[in-house]
Parts: sequence; structure tokens; C-alpha cells
Amino acid sequence: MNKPTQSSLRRQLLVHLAVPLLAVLVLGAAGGMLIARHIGYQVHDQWLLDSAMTLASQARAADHRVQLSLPPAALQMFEWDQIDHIYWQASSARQGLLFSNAALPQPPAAAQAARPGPQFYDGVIDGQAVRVVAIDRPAPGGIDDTLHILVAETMHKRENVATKIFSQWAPLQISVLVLAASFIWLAVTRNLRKVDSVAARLGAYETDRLTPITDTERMPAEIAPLISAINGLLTKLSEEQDSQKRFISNAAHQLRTPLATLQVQTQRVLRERDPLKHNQALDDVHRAVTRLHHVTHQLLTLMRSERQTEKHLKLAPVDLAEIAREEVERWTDSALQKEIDLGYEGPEHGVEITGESHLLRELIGNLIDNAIRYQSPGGTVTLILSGDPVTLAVDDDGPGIPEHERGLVLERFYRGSTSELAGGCGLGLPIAYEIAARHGAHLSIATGTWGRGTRVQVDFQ
Amino acid sequence: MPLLLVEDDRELAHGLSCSLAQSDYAADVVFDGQSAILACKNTDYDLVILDLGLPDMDGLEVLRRLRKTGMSAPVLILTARFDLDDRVSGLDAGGDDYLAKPFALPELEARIRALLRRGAPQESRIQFCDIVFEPVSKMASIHGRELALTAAEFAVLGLLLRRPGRVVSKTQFVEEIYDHADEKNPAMIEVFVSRLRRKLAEAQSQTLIRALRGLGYRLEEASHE
Repeated sequence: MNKPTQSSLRRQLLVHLAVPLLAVLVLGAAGGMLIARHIGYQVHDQWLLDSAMTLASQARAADHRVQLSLPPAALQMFEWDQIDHIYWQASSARQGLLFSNAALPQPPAAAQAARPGPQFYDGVIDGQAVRVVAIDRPAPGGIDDTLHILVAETMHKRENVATKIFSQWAPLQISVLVLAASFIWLAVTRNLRKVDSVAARLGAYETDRLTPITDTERMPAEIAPLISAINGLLTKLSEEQDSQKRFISNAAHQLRTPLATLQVQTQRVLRERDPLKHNQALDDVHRAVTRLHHVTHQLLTLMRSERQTEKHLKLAPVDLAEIAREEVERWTDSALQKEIDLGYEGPEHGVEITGESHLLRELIGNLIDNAIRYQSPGGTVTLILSGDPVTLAVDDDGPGIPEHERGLVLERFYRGSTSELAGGCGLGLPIAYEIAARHGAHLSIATGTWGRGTRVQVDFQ
Repeated sequence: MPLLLVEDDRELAHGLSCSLAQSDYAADVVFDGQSAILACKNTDYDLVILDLGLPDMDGLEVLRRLRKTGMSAPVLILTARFDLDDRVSGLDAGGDDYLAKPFALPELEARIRALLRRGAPQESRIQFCDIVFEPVSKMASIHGRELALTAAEFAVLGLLLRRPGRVVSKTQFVEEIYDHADEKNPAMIEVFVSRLRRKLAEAQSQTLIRALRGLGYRLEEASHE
């Protein structure tokens, strides 16, 4: 048998919590980095624009021409940058290129037409990626011309910023992740520990005292149904255990007495010297054995009829008439020995019911045995069977059962005022009652047909 | 007619073999399954009484092996087990009858008699107590003196003798005696039985036909009570 892989609640919880959280954190980190990078870009773009504006402000009008007068010191300051390289170019619409320190890529034509403001775009100068800003300014001094200025900067600073942001973000994000993960783990573990404690409690459970698990209010609401189901089971088990304990103690009691009798009688036989009395003593031994046999059989039958709840009954169609006739025949000799007229009234065949033949035999046998046992010599016992509705009754003209005892005789091990004499063990009628109930039939006790004796009747549905 | 008793409880085995000896059955006793199989190989038994709870192997397994070797003698299973299924599996394995412990000695002997009878060929001569009954020649005698019986009385006696000690219902008598449905008359059975009783009594038979109220009649030995 291969064991199915067991699903661990802890692992599932961890996986189900950690994976989405990780995704959320990673997305958040990526988004944050993108935003930071974007803001950095905007700041740098602004500086670039400022440079271009400064450059544009240096334009002068002279002779109806645009002139860009840049002293070398100013130019040096303008171009100076520790990290990046500055490229620029100034031109006018009418005069063409005015000044430049490199060949700068022109803005994309479409973008230029669409927007009048400054334009930012990426390009390449001397094999290096650059960020370019392009602005157009009307020429100063009322000259009908347009000044066109491009300023470009290599992207080292920007990249540095990105790297810096990343190098500072990442440890922060990782520590957030680690913290979050450990919180999840702690939370899951701590909460699941409650399950462990329940398991430990169940594991250490003492079976001799099946008390329900208490203090459920301290347990999580989700575990409470499980606990209450377990408690339900415990209650059932406890009832079963109680009934079995009762049964065993009763059984022990029931067996001890006939065993003691048997022991006494055999010892008496062994001591007896007179051959005639020897035989009498042996008769007593035999009687004791028979009684022991009877008690044992009854106890076992009761145990079985108890164990076989409706679910376990092997139900089959049976002819109650056949069973009844066979049982009457089986008890004939016992009846003859007690000089009791045992008879049958009913059809020979054809009283079909659904049941378990073995238990039904026990039921009928017990009713007949009971009637014979408490009947005095010369009396009559009759089994009456009728179909439609199926009714089985055992009628006798014996002493009868007093009305107040009728409920009691159906209780196990109850022995009526006369049972000591009859050698009964107080199980016959309870067994019959139990078997009848198993078959959905009802057993009732009434006064016999002719106003005396007992009539035990079983009404099948 | 030797019997084989396979029973591991020595006291029960001893008690049983002594009791069987009282009834003139000679029984060999073995205490485990292997010995049982060996004993059956060496001796041709008429009947095997087999306990299911054996120390070395399951009684049903013993039974299966015995049947596999071709042993045809009837097997009476004894068991202390309680489950109903045992009965079925015991009979499935090749058992012929089944007796649960504890049992009364007369019950065991009755089963043994029945099984031995079943194994025997169709008897041309049936004897019960002091009655000798010959179905083929339609003769019945008591103490060697022939009974003068009518055909109906002969049929009634034959039916009673088929299952001595067991009840024969009126319906069974009617079906045995009458061929045609319109002749059937249950009331006549009482007449036939009372005539047969009188003839048995006249011949000083030790048997009696007992009427069991509502069930029918059975033949028994007079010392039965």
C-alpha cells in the first residue's frame, strides 16, 4: 500500500502567503525604482534645458544678424563637468550653423513639428549614448529669424543615479522581504502550534476514561468543529465502552455462579462413595453443565445481536413458518421431559419475511425456552403464527408475568421472583426483544389467550 | 467402522473418544492437522470429525487438503468459532455437517449416524429399534414377526422410518400416500396412524408414534422419555 503524500497545512499556508507577498514586494521594488529613475531623469533634463536656455540667452542681435558671443571662460564653464561631456550646437534658420563643439543628432522630425516647446531625446555622439535637448527661440532684437539650440550630455550621471538608487533600494527591499517572510513564518507556526497542542492532547489521551476534550473556547474557531466531532465520537465510544463494561461484569457474574455450582458438584461426585448417590451427584453435575452451557450461549447470542446493528444484518427472505416449525420441533424433547404440551398453530409454509434466519431462530427458541422454563408440568405452550400482518406469539397457561414485572423482564439480567427455580439467567426475553427490534418488529407481553398465563407476541411490520 | 477424531484439546478428545466407544464407534484420535492428513492417507475412515481450531494449521485448510487427496468420507466440523460465515466456508471447503461447541453428546451422535447413513448405499433393509423394514419387498416385521399392513399404513411407516426421531408433517404424509389431488384427505392420516399404532402395540414394539401438536408425527423409541 503506497501512502498518499500528506498535505502539510503549514507548508501550504507558507507557500500560499509567501509567493504572493514576494510577488507584491518585487513589483513594488521594480515600480519604485522606475519612479525614482524617472524623477532623476526629469531633474537632469531640467538642468540640460537650463543649459540650453543660458546658451540661448547669450545670443545678440548685430547687423540684423544673430550672433553668439561666448567668451572662452564662459564656454569653459559651460562645458565643464566632472563626469559628463557636454556637447552643444547653435544655429539659426536663416544663417545656418552658428557654433558647435560636435555634430549633434537632430530631433525626430515628427516630434519637432508636433510640439513647440523644448524637446528631449536620446542620441549617440562618438559612440556614446547622450541625452539631447532642443529649443527654438525667436532671434533677439526683432530679427526675423529663429535660433535653434541643441545641448547634449552623456548619460554617466543618470546611470550613476540609477545604480545608486538600486544599491540603496535593494538592501532595503531584501530586509523588508526577510522581515515579512519571518513574520509570516512566525504567524503560521504560532497558529499551527495550537493544532499541535490539540494533537498532543489527543495523543496523550487515556482510553480508560473517555471524557470529552474541554476548554474548547481557548481553541481557534476553525478547530472547534473538529474538536466537537472528536468529542461526539468520544461520547459514542464512551457509551459503547460503558455498555461493554456492564456486559462483561454482568457476564462474569452470570458465569461465576454456574461455575461455582459445577465445581461443588464435581467435588461432591469425587468424594461420594455410595454408587447410587454417585449417580445422583453426576446428574447434578450434568445439570450444572447444562446451565453453564445455556448461560454461555445466551451471553454470546446477546453479544452478537448487539453487535449486529441493522447495517450488519445479513437480511434475506426467510419463511418464518418453516423456522417456527423447526424450532418447535427442536424444543419438543425439552417440553416432553417437563411433561409440557408444546404445539404449533399456523401454516406449514409461506410466511415470508425479510430477516436473518439464525437470529430469528434464536428469537423463537428463546420465547419457547422461556415459556417451557417457567411452565409447570402438565401445562401447555403454543406457538401461534399468522401471516398478513405477520404475527408470532408464544402462548402459555402458566403462572403468568405480573403486570408490574412485564417491563422489567425485558431488561437484561432481571430475574423474576420465580427465575431461581427455573434456572434462567435473565437474558431470554431481552435477547428476543433485541432481535425483534433489529428486524423492525415489536415484542410485547400480555396475558395469555384464556385470561391466564403469558402471551409474548412479536408483530412484524 | 473406524472414525477419525481431529481435536487439539486433549481432554475433549479423550472425553469424546470414550463416549463414542460407549456407542460402539471406534475412533482414532489425532491432535493436529498434519497427523490428520497422515492418518487419512494410511487408513480409510468412514467419517472424520474435525475441529477447526488446530495448533499447526487451520482446520478448513486441513479439510481442503484432505478433499484434494480424494478423501470422500463425510466430514463433521466442530468449532468454537461464532461467526455465521464459518458455517458457509466450512461447508464450502468440503464439510458435510457442522456442530458448534458446546454440544450435547446425543446431538453429536445423531449427526454421526445421519452422516454415516448418508454415506451408505440405498438400504434395502431399514432397521430402527425393533422394527425391520424392507421397502422393496414391502415387508415390515417386529421381533421377526411380520406386521400385516395396508399399503397406506406401509407408506406411513416408511415415511416415519426415513427420518426416525424427526417430525413428519401431515402434508408430507398426504403427498406420499395420495397420487391425485382430489383424493387428498388429511383427516385420513390420523386414522392410518392410529391403526399403525395399534398394530405396533400388538406386536409389542418398543417404538411409539408420537403426535406433536400442530407439527405432525414422529417415530421414537419408547425409552425416549
